[in-house]
Amino acid sequence: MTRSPSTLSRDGSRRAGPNRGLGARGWLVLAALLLGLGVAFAARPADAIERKPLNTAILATVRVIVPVADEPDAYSTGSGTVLDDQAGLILTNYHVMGDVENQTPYNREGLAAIAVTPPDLRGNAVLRYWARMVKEDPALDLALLQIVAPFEDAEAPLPQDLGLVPVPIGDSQALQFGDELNIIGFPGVGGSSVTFTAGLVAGFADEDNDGYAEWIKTDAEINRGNSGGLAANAAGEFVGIPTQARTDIGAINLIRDGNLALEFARDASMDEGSAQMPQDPDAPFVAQVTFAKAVDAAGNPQGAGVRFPSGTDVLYAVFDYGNFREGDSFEYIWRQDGFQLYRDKVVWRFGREGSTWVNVFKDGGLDDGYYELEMRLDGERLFQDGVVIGEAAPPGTGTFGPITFAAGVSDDGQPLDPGTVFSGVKEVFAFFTGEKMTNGAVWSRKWYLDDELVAEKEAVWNGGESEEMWVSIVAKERLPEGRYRLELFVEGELVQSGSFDVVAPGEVSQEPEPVLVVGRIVEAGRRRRGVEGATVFFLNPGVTVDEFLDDPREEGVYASGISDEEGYYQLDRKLVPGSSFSVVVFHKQYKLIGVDDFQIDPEALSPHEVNITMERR
Amino acid sequence: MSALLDALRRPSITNEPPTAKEQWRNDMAVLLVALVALLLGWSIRNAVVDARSQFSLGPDLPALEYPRSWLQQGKEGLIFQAIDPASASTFDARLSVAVQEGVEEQALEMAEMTWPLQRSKEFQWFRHLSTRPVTGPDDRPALLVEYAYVADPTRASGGNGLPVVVRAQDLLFLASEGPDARLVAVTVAADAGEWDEHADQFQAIFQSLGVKEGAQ
Amino acid sequence: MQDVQRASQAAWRPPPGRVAQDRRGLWVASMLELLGLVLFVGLFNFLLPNLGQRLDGLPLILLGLAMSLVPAALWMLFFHRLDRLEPEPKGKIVHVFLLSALATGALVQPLLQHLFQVNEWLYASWATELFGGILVVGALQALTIYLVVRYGIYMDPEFDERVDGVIYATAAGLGLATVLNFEYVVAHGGVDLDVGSIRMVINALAYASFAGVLGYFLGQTRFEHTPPAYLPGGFALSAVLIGLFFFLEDRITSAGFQVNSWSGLVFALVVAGITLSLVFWLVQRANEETLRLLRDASAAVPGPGEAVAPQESPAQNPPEVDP
Repeated sequence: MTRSPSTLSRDGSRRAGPNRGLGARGWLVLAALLLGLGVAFAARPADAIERKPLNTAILATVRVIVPVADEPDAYSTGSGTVLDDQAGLILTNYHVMGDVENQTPYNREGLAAIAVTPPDLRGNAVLRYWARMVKEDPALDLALLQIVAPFEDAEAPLPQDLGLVPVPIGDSQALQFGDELNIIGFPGVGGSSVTFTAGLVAGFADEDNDGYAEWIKTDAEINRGNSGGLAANAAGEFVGIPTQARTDIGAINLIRDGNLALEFARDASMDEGSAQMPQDPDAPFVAQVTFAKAVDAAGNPQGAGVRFPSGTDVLYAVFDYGNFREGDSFEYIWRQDGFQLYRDKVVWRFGREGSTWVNVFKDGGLDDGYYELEMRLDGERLFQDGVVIGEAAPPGTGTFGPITFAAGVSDDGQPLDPGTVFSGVKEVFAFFTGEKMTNGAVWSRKWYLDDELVAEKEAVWNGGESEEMWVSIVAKERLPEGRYRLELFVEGELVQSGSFDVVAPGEVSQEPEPVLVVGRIVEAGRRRRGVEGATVFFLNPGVTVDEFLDDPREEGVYASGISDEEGYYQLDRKLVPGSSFSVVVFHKQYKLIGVDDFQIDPEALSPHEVNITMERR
Repeated sequence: MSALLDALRRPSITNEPPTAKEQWRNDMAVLLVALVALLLGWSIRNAVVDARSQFSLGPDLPALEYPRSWLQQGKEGLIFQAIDPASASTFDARLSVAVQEGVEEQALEMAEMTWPLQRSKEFQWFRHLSTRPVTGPDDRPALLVEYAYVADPTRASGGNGLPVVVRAQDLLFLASEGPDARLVAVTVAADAGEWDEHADQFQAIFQSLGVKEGAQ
Repeated sequence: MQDVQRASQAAWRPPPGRVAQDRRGLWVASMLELLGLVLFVGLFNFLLPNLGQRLDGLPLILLGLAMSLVPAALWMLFFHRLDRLEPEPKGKIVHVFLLSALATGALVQPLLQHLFQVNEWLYASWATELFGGILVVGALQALTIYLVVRYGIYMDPEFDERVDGVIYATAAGLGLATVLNFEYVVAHGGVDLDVGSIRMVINALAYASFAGVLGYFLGQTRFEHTPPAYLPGGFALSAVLIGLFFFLEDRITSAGFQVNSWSGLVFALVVAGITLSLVFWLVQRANEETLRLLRDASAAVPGPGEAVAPQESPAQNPPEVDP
């Protein structure tokens, strides 16, 4: 504090000196810095909006890995396309799943492991699910897979939201020479990430000269692993399946026509309904009961049918079962023409679900007659039906009365909501009465959609002279729109038919597809460190952030997600684009985020990214 | 306004420093204001930290109290579950209650042997850590079973998060006697690495039921 | 330089004219400090943005700790350079700075974290953030600054000007801010340099300014009779400012899903600038008033140029009544 008087006397003078402020040079440097700031702000990364549709196509392509039975280290690999993300349907080539020439799958159950590309589109595909082949057409080299279990645990139930992205569908018939084609798949054999190759439509190939081109030629490179993957047009829509890489005629590769593949998939997704009462989903059931003369080593029926020649010495019934409990008592009874032939009872120890067979035999051949099989679990009847060995009763004049279509069936077998136009239904029932039918007569029904056969079933009549019965056609998610026709045959002769229409539901036509919402939660800062364990809640419409914080209840939550160690999260429910939600993000070490009325971009596509930055407390 | 400004910049025209008594008065006044503020702040803190929601376990049982900020969820097989969404782990700390109806008198003794076995069927990589008798609500005999297992919390939302080692405690006691006996299981669980951070909250939850260490 | 007899602490007082030093150096130093902090932020955000990405673990923590000291060091540097007239002894300023840092680290933060457990409830809602911020965090921190200045330097002969209140309180405020920055770095295993530097600067600006406000009141009460509510009012004011500032700061930076650190920085710069200017203006006006009164007093009593103590109150204003 003390200073010499000499310095004291300098008090008051305000002359500019080296210590007085920055000085001219200092200001110049400062100005240069500020200029640099402006430049730094101006240079920003370009938005990736125009790449979004292709991103969806890339995410909709999965890797298919098929274990080969009896060869632990051998796998067949290829690619697949997600057609239906809720039912978990994946389209691929048959030759990825099995041998085309012998028409046998590489493993008995038709299982394949499905690996999915992570949402940031970088990095290798990650094994997520097991899928089973539910429909195949080796001639067309097409196979449809359905996801059945999570990869880590084959017994565990699937999550409600599989977290898949379906491919947008395009019209392969609209393609023209020179149009852009994008091949997406997993070409490498050993560990790879999804690959995208661009090319052009080089031509069309009509194999059987029926005027319809089943193949699209392209100059884009298709390697072995691309088989079964996705061929997309410029808008990222599905237009075909890369199938063959022909190298002998230069670099022209073949793509299976998309519309053809979709027809195959659509056929496969509809099936004959089981003519049983609607059941409790947890109850034990048997299904797909097929009578056959023999079974192969894999347990598949050989020589199936509903009528067998005289002298057949063994009759098999192959069936799928589900929801069977260990320890239950399983009983099956074979009857011939009403008389009990053979009966057995076992304590069930063969797993909850699967496929197996029972049989009945007689040395010297089974007698002619109507053979009926009844199966019971714990005393409850699960199945009762039969086939005929030998000549049937003389073909009678049996026929069927008019068919009534309905959306449902009541407990006593009566039609519910009868009509001829349906929309947004999964199953349609057809009711008719047999007239002068004889037991043992073979009758069948064929279902057509827009004049194409989509399902059929043959059976042996055992309802007596005139019984009311119903059959149904059911799809995995919804019956496709179109005109349906049911034809009933007795002993091969068409006796009755009826039609109905399935139309698009009016109200929901304008609503956009709900999208999968994903994103990354990071800490503020350049390094963008991921925040682990942050919980994201999208609240029910009408619930504000303050209301929720005041009284946190599950009823207020519409969808939620938790971030992993990289900060990536995924909501457990899809959101409709254009809708608004209040959003809350919790983490102990970061400041709470609460945003009211956050709107999902109306143009959003799956997956829709919502990234969040959190600030440390 | 100008009077205020005046007061601010010209508190005294004496240009005289304060006396020792004034000085003391100033200090005390500041301390007083600070204390009042802190007391008010303390009551706000208590109101929030100790804010509890309640869940009734039954007619003759004390109500279960848990932090208000925990989110109540419905879950199959449980009559109650609440999670702490602010948990720093992908496995949110949680409280759940399950009830078994129509059990026998010796259910608690049986549970000492069978409960860990039952749990081992529900969880992956289940490890039984300890079982000890404690005093339950209303001085009933109770058991505290401690165990650990591996959970996969991000699977439901299709995420790719790591599996988490979870540590949990089950408080078992009989809710009523006779033919309507119910075995109540109150479970607290958290990511094993975060257990210490939630230990106080878990303790408060058990205390709200009147649980005490040591057998009756 | 006066030769001063000190019978008792309370009785000693510097010559009134002395009290009213304006200390321009202080204000210029503070403005330059603001500028320097902006450059500090600019350095880590634009010139060295990738430095943080190459460092991790211990080196990052050490760098973070060094960064925590920069705001305080900058201020003291500027002040040292500019405080030409009867400079405050740097030793005393550093002493106050360290005392405040010690009090914060050893007492205030543990009280806030473990006794009041602010992390559990402060961010539960906007109301708890605002009122808790004022009544708990603001009050404790203002109390710290008050006690450090009051018992660290108040009675020291070096504290002989009204503006010394602001100087020492600012040093104390910077000490508090530095410890908060330290803790931020250590608790989070290093810091993202861009966001971290902004956060440190905001802390320093806020605490330096609001401590300055408290310091003004302290300076006034050191040398004047003040109404009983004056100093507590000043204390309450700085507590309210602290709580309110960080509440608003939070609202500004957390806009939706993104964090707007820059808006927060701009807000802090504006608030600090206004507060410091206001304090400067107040000190200046008070000094003017004091000098005016002195001139009047010496004009009324002819004699030696230096008045020792006014014997009677000037006629214009009635004397204050002690309660």
